[in-house]
Amino acid sequence: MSTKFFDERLGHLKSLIASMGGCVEQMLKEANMIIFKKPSDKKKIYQIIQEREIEIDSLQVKLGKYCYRILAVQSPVAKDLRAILSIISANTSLERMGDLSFEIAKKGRELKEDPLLETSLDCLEELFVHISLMVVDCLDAFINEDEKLARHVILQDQRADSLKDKICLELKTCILKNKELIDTCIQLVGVAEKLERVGDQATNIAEEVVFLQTGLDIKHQEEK
Amino acid sequence: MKKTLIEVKNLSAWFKKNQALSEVNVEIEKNKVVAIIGPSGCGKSTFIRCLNRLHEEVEGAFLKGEVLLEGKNIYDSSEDPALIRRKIGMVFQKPNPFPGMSIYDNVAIGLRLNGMKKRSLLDERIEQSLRSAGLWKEVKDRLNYSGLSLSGGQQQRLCIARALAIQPFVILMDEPTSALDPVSTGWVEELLQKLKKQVTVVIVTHNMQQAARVSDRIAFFIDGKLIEYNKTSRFFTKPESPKSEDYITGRF
Repeated sequence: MSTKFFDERLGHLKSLIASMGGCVEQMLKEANMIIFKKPSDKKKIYQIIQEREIEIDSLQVKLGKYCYRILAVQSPVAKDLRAILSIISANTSLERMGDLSFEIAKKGRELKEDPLLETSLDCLEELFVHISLMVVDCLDAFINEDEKLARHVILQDQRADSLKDKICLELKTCILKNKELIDTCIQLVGVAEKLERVGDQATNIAEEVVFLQTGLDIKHQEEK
Repeated sequence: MKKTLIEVKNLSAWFKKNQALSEVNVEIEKNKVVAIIGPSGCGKSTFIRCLNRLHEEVEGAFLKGEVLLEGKNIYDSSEDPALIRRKIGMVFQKPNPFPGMSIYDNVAIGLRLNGMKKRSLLDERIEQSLRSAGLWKEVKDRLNYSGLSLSGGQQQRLCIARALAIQPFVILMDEPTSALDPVSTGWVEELLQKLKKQVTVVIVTHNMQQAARVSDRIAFFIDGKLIEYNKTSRFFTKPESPKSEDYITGRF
């Protein structure tokens, strides 16, 4: 195997991961705008998100094909093999993150404005910021093979879960107090759940970094 | 339960003043395939030639340390090298059927030298050996043809049948497929998986993928030193030594 050739290919695959990650980061920012900033050009922003989702899908197919070819032709081993396997896994995670971000934007677009929801929205905005940071960090960790940062991202998942639980509880209380808000609250629960799932995918990517660096599969460890 | 067949203890080997192996310690389990890998000149072939006392046949070659076969040192003064080589057979890089001998005689020669004369017994053992080597169906109707009339891949399987005929404990293989095409290589690799039910195999190979495909354990050498001895699945996914990692990923 030509090492130079392999390293070049690996660099190319990572740049595709970075492009997909960049799209997800932007989609989350734009979805955040739709929900919290209530812009006048909501429709246009939603359209951009839709286009990014399509771009992520096509990058996923492209990246999958490259990985398949490298496995067939180069037969990588050891760290090289782990690198390809982690890219395949990150590819799947990023595509799901794209889908989830798009669904968040879709729910945001359908939201009605209601001042009664302010407390819950504050908490939701905090979750947005937290998840967006997890996404940025997991991508930095992945691109730079930074195990320390990856482990930091993994630890952040707990905070994401508890924020989501808090939001759901607040929205439940809100429904009980005012039944007219039921549709809006259900939409917001959906947003919080999807955000939390974006965080799970960011955690998956961070776990791939640990696998790449150490050869250890640390997935589902707390479940054992 | 793990059963050690060969135990190599503090083995060092020299060719005159040049040290080829230093302080190698390895335990080889019964009915396993062990692949020996490493860059050219790292001592792979010297190592396997020490396992059946072929090393000492080279002028000026000597060694220190022990090679225990089922707990008995094959280098004990009471041990007969010829008998050791019957227990630990060898297949070489280039197929080497005995010229002027038929397919049948190529396999029978070891048995005859061991005193087996009865034709029916010979026939039985030869069929068994050729079957084990995956060659019986191809040659059963032309056993009296010259061994050299076979293709390269068939010749190598004939050599394996010849080694198997005397029912060794271990077969050492020194790059047995490097002179073969991919189809014949595939035959030999498939054969190794079947063979390990009856013998232990130690194979030297330069082909990383072959080592990954056929072996249970890998012994990786550099400059006569054993750098890593590990399960194959572990070695090719997360080797212990950075030197192993560099070597198998081509960054050595």
